[in-house]
Amino acid sequence: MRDDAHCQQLLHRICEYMDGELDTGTCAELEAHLAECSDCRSLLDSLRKTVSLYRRCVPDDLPPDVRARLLAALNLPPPDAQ
Amino acid sequence: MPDEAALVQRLRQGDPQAYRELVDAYSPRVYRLALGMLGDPAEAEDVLQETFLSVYRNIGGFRGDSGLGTWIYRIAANASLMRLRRHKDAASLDETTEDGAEPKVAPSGGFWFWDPEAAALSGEVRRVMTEAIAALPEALRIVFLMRDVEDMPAAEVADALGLTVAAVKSRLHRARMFLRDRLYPYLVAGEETR
Repeated sequence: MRDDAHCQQLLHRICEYMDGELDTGTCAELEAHLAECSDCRSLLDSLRKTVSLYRRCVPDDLPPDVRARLLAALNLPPPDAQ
Repeated sequence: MPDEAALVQRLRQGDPQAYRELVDAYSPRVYRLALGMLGDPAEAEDVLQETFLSVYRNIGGFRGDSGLGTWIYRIAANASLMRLRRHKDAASLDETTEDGAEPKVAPSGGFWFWDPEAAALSGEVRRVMTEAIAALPEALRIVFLMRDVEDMPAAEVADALGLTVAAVKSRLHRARMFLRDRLYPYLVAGEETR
């Protein structure tokens, strides 16, 4: 059964839950609430998707030309010049 | 990074190989952080170079109170925030001209999306993601980028930004909610984001 006050109270803990930072008791309380509340489950799911969407847009390496100009700014020869 | 004290010692001695190792270890993250904050590849590259030149000039004063990485991210964060403030100053000056011109704002196009993974996202989703993060207040944006995109521990983010861990968590929560609200129609569309 939906309880807006309880949802609002747990909303502030949902990020800590995502990050695995809740203590055992609060974690169990939140999970029990999530099992009953589709709104909060939906919120958690959409927050996770938001973070995932941004994370997957992150390249691992510098663009080669940016790296070459950085090395030059630091007066470091490029690797193939060594 | 293994044996940070030895690396710092070699940096102080001006060892070129030590600087190359530093670039390899930290430059991608510094560039991503600046690109996420400024939204402009040219400005992000300027911040990247400023950051490593600052490390070069100031490594002698590095006391090791924080980790080397945290110190570097603090320099990069400050350089990015200073640029944003300059943009704001320019924008407010423009607004007072009353000449009808659009005020200058930080550019927000094209960040991240040269990456092949991101290129698979639809143009509409990329546009909304770009606009959403550009609209995120900078104090929240930098926490989101460090914590969620770069996966830095909350304590390290707090140290780099001079915040408490509780403040980092609070800002992260607000940032996630802000972005989620703007992306929500695309999130519920599920696979249509691809």
